[in-house]
Amino acid sequence: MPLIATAQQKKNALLSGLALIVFALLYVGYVWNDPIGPRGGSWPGIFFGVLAYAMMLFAGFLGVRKKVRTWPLGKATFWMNGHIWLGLLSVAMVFFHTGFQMGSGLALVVMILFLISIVTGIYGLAVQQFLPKVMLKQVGSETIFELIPDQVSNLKLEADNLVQSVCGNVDASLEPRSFLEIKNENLEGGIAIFEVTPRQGYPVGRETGLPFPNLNSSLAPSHFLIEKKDEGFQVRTLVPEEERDRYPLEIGGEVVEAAELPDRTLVRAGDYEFEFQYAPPIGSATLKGYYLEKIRPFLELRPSKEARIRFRTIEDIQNCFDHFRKFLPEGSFHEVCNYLNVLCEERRQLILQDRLHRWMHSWLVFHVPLSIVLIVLTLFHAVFAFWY
Amino acid sequence: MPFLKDDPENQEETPDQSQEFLVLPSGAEVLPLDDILKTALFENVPEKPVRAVLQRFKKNWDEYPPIWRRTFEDGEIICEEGDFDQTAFFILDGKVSIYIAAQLGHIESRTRKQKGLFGFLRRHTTAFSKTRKDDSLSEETTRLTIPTDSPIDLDVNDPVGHLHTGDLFGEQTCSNYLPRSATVKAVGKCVCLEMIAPVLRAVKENSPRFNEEYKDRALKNHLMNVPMFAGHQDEVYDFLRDKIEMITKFKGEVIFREGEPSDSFFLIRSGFVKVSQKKPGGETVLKYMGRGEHIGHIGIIQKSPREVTCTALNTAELVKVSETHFRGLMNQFPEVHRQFYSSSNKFQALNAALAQRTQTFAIRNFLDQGLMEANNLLLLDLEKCTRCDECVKACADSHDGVTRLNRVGLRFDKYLVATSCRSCSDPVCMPVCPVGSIRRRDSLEIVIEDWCIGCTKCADACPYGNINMHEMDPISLGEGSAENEGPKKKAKAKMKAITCDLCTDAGGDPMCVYACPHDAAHRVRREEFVEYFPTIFDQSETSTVRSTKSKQKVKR
Repeated sequence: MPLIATAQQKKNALLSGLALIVFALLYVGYVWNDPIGPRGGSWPGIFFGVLAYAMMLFAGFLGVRKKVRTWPLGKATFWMNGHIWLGLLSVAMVFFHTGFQMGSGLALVVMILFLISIVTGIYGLAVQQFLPKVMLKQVGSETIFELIPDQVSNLKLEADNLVQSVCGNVDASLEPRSFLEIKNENLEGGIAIFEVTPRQGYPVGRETGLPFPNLNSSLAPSHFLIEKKDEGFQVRTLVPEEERDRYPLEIGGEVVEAAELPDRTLVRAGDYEFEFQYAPPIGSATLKGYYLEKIRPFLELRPSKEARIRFRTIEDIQNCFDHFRKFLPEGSFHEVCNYLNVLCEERRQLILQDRLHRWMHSWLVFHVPLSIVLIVLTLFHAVFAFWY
Repeated sequence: MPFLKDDPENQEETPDQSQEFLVLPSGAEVLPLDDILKTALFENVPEKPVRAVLQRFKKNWDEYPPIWRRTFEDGEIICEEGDFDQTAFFILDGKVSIYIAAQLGHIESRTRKQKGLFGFLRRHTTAFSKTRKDDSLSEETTRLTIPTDSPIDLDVNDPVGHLHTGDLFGEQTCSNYLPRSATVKAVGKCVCLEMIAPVLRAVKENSPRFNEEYKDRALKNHLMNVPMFAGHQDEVYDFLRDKIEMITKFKGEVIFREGEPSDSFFLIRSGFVKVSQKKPGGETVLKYMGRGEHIGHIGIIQKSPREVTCTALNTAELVKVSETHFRGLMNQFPEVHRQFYSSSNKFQALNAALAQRTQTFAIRNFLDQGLMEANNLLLLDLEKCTRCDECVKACADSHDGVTRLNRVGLRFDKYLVATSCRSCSDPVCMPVCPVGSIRRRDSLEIVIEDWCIGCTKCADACPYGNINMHEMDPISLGEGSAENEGPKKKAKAKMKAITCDLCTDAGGDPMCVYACPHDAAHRVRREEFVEYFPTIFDQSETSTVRSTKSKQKVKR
C-alpha cells in the first residue's frame, strides 16, 4: 500500500494501531465491568464520543488549513496525515461510543452521515493513492486540467488545417475567400493545387509538403482571388490600383489584372510564387470524408460516444489509421494521416486525463459538505444528549 | 525612434549600410557637417579623426546622417525606458529629467481582492501570514541607487534626477544594444544632438574633456554607490580623484585572470563583468557584476594572487585604482578597510558554498535538460501529486495573488520539473538587465527588484522560460510621483518581470512545498540531486561533469 510505504506513514500507522489497541482494551474493560452494557450516555461512552468528535474536528481542520495556506499552522502534510489517520481512528471511537449500535433519531442521522463521510473519504484516499500513478503512466500529454478545453480546440484547429492543406476547405459554411487568406509564407516556391467541390462551387488552395501552413491565418491583406469561370479558373488581383506597382500579379511572366489560369501556370503575386494545377489530388475526397465523419467528432470538446468507443485505446487508434492508410495514396496523404494519428492519440490522452482528474476530485463534492454537516449535527447531538 | 538593424560594433559603418537601415525620427534636424563640428559636443576635440569618421557618411548626409539635432518642448518624452534604440543623446541646451516610470512596488493581482469569510481573513491577517514581506532583504541589499544609462544614478527611494547642458546619455543603448534604462523628459525647451555609435566612439576616443569629466563623474557616482565608503564619500573622492585611470574592455576581454598578481582595484562604470573561477571539470560563473559594483579588492586586502577571472561581457568601462593607491586609501580610512575586509570574507563564503555544490556526477540525461545548471529545482512527484494545485494557489497567496509557479515543465523520471526559477549556476538573466534590478542573494536565489522596467530582456534570456512578465494593475499616477512629471497624467499599466524567490522571506520551506498536503512538492538543492535521481547517475564514472548550457528553449 503506497500510503504506508514511506517511513513517516509507517510511523503514523504504528501510532494509530497502538492507539487503537489501547482504546479497544479500554472499551473491553468498560463493557466487561458495566452491568447494563455499552451505551453513549455512560461516562466511558461520553469519553469515547468526545474523543471521536475531537478527532473529527481535527480532521476537519484540514479544510481550514487549505483556505489559509500562508498561515504558520504547520506543513499541510502534517494536517493531511492527521486527517487520514485520526479520521480512520474516529470510526473505532464512534463505535465504542455507541456500543456498535446505530442509534435512532438524530443519533441515527449523525451515524449515517458519519459513515458516508468515512466511506467517501476512504474512496478518495484510495483513488488518490492509485490514480496519480495511472495518470503518470498513461497520460504523457498531460496538461493543466483547466487548460484542457483550450488544448482540445488547438488540436481540432491543427487537424482542420492539416486536412485542409491537402483536401480543400473542410468547413462548408465558409464563403469564397481570397487565396492569400488561406496561404502563408511557406507557399513560396510551392505548388498550389485547386479543386472545385460541386457543393461549394469555389476553389481552395493547398500547399504541398510539410510543414503545414496555418490556413486560417487572415493576417495578410488580400492580394488576389482565384475563382471558377466556365470550365476553367481565372485569377484577378484584389490590390488597389495605386498599390499594383508594388504588388503586381504576374501570370506566366506577364503582369495582369485578371487572367485565365490554364493548368500548371506559374503565378506570382507580391512575395508569393507558386505553380497552379487543376487536378485535385487523388484520395482527397476519401481523406476528407473519413476525417469529417470519424476523426473530427473525436476531436470535439465533447466527443460523441461512438467516436470515443472507436478510439478508446492507443491500439484502437493505431488499428483505425493503419486500415485507413491503405485507401490513401502515399506521400503527403500518409504524412497527414500519421499526423492525425498523433493528434487523435493526444486527444485520447486528454479524455483520459479529464476522466482521471474527475475521479480523483469529484468525491470531494460529497465528502466536504457532508463532513461539515456532520460536525454541526454532532454538536447538536451532543448538546441535546446532555440537555435531555 | 531611430534604429539600426545590426549591432554597429560588429560592422563597418559604410554609408551604404547606414542608408539601408537608419530611419530618422520625426523632427530630426539635419545639420551640415561643418556646423555639427562647431557644436559643443566637439569642443576641444581634435577635428581630424572625428571628421574622418563623419566623412564616411558624407555621401548621403542629408538623408542618412550619423548625427542630427532635435528640439524637444517642455514635458516631451525624449526616450522611454525599455525602448530598443541605438542612439545616444548630448544635451546642447536645456535640462531634462530622468526617472524610472515603472511603478515601484510589488505586483498585485486583479483577482487578489477575494470575497467571503476566508477572503476577509486573508486580507486582515497578512502580518500573521508567511507571505513575502519584501524582495529586498535589508541585510543583503547593497544598492543605494539604480544605475541608469547616464552620468547619474537614481536614488532607489526617489528615482528622479536631472541632466543639464553638456551631459550625455544613452551610451549603453548606443554601444551595447541594451534597452533604455530610464525615461527622459524635457524640462523646458531642450535641444539635443542624437548620434549613432560611430560618432559616440569617435568623440569618446578623442575628447580629453570628456574623459576628464567622466573620470570625475564616474568616481563620484561610484563612491556614492559603494556601501563601504558610506559616510566618507567626499574624503575618498578627494583622495582618489587624481589617482584613477579610466579603462575600456570590449566583449570577451579579460580584465584579470585567476592566479595573476593582485595589482589593482576596479569600479565598474558601465557594462557587465563575469566573475568566474576554475573548478574541476570547467569554469564556474560565480556572479555577474554591473555598473556601480567593484572587483579586485580581495587579492589586495588578503595579499594573495587573484582568486577569480573577470571578463567583460560587453563593452565595459572601468575605473582602475592601483594597488598602491588602494592600500593608501585603506590606511587612511580604517573604517573603509574594515568594510572591505568583511566584504571579502563574505565573498569567499559564497565561493565556498558554490564550490561545495559542484558535484562529481556523470549525468548525461541531466545535461540535455539543462538540469545541471540548476542550484535549486522544484520537483513534483507525479506518483503522489493529485493535481490539486495547492502549490500554485499557495504561491499566489504568498505573492500578492500572482503565482510564480506553473505546474508544467519537463518530466524527468517520475518528477515534473515545474516552471520555477532554478537559481542557475550561470544566471544568464542577470547581465542583460539594463537597470541592474536582478541580483543573486547570498543564498543563491535570484531576486528581481521593484525597479524592473519591464523590458523583457531577462525573460527572453532565461533558457527555461522561468521568468514571466506580468502586467501590474493600472494605477492612477498621483501628484508628485516621478512618472507624473509632464503631460502623461493618466492611469497606465506596466509590465514587470517575476520569478520564483524561494519564499526566503517567509522562512523555512518555500510556500509551494509548505502547502502541498500530499508530500509531492519538493525543493531540491543541487547536492540532493543524487538522492532524488539515483537511477540516472553512472557511478562508474566519477569525473566531474559541468554542464554545458542547454540552448534548448523550453518555453511553452
